[in-house]
Amino acid sequence: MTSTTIAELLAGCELGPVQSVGRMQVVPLLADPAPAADEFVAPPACRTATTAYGTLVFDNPHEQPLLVPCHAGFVVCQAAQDHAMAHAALVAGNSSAAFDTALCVQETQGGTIAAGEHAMVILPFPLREPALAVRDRRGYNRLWPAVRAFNAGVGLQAVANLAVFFGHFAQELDRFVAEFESLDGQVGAVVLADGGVLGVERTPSVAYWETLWAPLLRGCYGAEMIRRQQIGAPARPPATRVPLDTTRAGSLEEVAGALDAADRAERRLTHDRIAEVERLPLKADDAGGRQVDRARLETVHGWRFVGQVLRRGGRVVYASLVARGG
Amino acid sequence: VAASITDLTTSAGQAPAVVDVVRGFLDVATAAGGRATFYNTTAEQLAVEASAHTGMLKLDRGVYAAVLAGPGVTDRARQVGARLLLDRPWTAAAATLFDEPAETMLLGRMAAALPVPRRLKLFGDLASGRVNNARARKLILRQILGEERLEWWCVRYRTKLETALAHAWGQRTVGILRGVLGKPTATRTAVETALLARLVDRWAPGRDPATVHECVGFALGVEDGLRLPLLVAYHQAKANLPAGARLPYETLDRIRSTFHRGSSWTSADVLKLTAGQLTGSQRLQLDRRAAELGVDVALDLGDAGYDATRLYLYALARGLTAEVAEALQARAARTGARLPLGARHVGLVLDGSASMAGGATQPLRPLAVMLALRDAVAAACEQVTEIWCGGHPDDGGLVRPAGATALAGGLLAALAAAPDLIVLVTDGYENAPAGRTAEVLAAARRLGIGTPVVQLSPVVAAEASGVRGVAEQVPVLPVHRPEALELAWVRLLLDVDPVAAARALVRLASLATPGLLEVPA
Repeated sequence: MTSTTIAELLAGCELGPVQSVGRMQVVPLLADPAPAADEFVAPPACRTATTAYGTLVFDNPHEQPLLVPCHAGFVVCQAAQDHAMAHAALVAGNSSAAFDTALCVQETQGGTIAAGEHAMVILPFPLREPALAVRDRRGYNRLWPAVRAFNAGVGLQAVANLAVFFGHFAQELDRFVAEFESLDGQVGAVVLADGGVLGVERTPSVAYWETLWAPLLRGCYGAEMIRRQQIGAPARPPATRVPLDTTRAGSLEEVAGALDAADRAERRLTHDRIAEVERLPLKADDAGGRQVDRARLETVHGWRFVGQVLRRGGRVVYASLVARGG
Repeated sequence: VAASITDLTTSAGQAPAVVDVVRGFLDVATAAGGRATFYNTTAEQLAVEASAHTGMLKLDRGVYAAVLAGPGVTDRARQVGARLLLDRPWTAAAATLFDEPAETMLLGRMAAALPVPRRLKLFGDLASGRVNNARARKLILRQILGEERLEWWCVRYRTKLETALAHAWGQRTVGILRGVLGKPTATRTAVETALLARLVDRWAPGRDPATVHECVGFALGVEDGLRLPLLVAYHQAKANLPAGARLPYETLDRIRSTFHRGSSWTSADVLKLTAGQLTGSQRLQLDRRAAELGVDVALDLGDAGYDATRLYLYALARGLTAEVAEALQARAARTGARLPLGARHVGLVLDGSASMAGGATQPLRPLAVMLALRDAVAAACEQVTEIWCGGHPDDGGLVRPAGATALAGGLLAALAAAPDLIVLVTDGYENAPAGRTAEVLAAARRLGIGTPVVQLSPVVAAEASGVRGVAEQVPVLPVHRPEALELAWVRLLLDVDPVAAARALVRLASLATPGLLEVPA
């Protein structure tokens, strides 16, 4: 077991200009220079299937290794049981791999998922810590209690079926995805909600990030924003938002000054909030599984965050951490 | 005419609801493409579209038809509208502007204004939707059998034609016609000749009956005794591909993949063979591929068929050449001349953020629309101050979408230039941070700066409120292409003067319906 920090996991990235909509803020992680070569491919470019309840299979036809992001899920339009991964995973180039630690997220439907390039979602934020907690066990139904509680919490039937959630809130989630934009050179993001850091996402390349960003927004963080809204969490502007104060502005130049000051203050507040957590100690365990092309997965956990990290040759290329107690 | 429009917009107690319906319809008629956008799925778009069309139809059938026959609406809106009008019988109670023959004439004009594939798609929709009344049948037969380029249609859209004709005539009649048209002309009986006159010739006045008969027979599957050059080429190309050199590219390529499978002929060979037959839009679509293959398919940029948005899409894909820039300038001058901006100074704040890249099905379209709008507005006014928010210039003199949506600084810069009007061109999804533009505008108003600000949105989102506005106090107009700007101004007017907006609507509709409408004073 080794120790690490979020600061170390984000080494080589800069914090970009904050994007703020409603209770959520996104601070882009910009790599300079942005990794040009795509070291890893993401699941939508590979064929995915379930061969048994609790077993997800990935077929990687590419030269590069496939990096299955932490808690990737597949909610498909088939008479088949939707599944998600309990952890991140690696699949070597031009090969297939089966993971029998996968989680069923649709108790109301039988059948296995036929192989195909299926759209990917990331598990809703409140399910990610419970999913990671059962990553080493077997049993396809071990996330059902958490999914039932999640659906009930957002006002839906208490059934372990994520398709119900994604169907019911499809329009809200679509709109939510549209609110935030990827920047040039962006490889990740720190996500804040109601003024607190909710998650840290870093990916190997700009291309990988562009593949992962919409599933993360829709499935993980968008779901959490909906949950907070549904449980009636006050929708006050977070403390890290700074309204434009023009009460003393007597000209457009002074409004411009106030605008600049508000933007700088908002950036400082969000960066301060990130600074508060980036030195917190995290313990890192080998996540098991096969080493692929000198890349190895670790599971990290601390009192505030849990998640998984991928290092290649000692360099962090992927990290996905979520705040505990979601 | 004026009275009915006035009734429409001023009925006590109903006016706000009525204006909402008209507003929603204009949003859809000028911008919706029935396809997925950066923000919404196709299903969501279709649901909003259907609701807007039926709402307006119920409200006032005459205004609905007039707007769809006028300039500035999308082909998609015309297609949906024509189907809806044909599906719901005209009644005196529902009509305010037109009697039934006039509406039928309008329907004919609406259909004729559609590009051929969309027109045939409309006929296909009528068939699949079982819309089979006398008006629908007449429209199909007049449009197809009276078509000057029927021979070309036959080789390019043979299956679609057969579907449409079978819907109009019925399968039994089609079977009879197939038998009659399969016989040599000299062997047809008097009864058969009379049948052709009644079923075919009456819909093709002024056309050579023998040509029309051969085309109809071909569309229905007859390939014996062909003499028309394109039909002969089609038939011969099945055995000898180069014999089809005069056919459309897609047609010959389809023959290649069906009848020459396993041969050495490739799609590139077909492109070389048919380079001289490419239509204007095909030249735009295939230009990159042709260049790779060394095939000369020189663009005719003088063709009015390429609108500014398409030219910008072409330029974004292939680079902005001096020739294309000149063509764009000509388009902008033409569109700008119709806009009532006069001697004004306009501040243009342009959103170049990442979302302007659009959806996967129509990449870069919002950006292309925005660039075309910019040109049209700039051409229409005396002075323009152009401010970009996000985006970065490329090597070819164009802009590529990039970055977050931060418009507040751009608005401030535009206000500082003291223009007569500020036009924000953005999808309205502000995020750096959300609401900042509204805060800046409120601050400017407190300072007594009353410069009017409007928003043009180059996409339409499937939301209950229509397109996304960047600030509550800024009227927002969806615009699909610069040609729709006039209609967009009407939409803007709806918020401040519904009666004037309704009159302006009729004026616009009258441009496409000369003699049918009187323009109110």
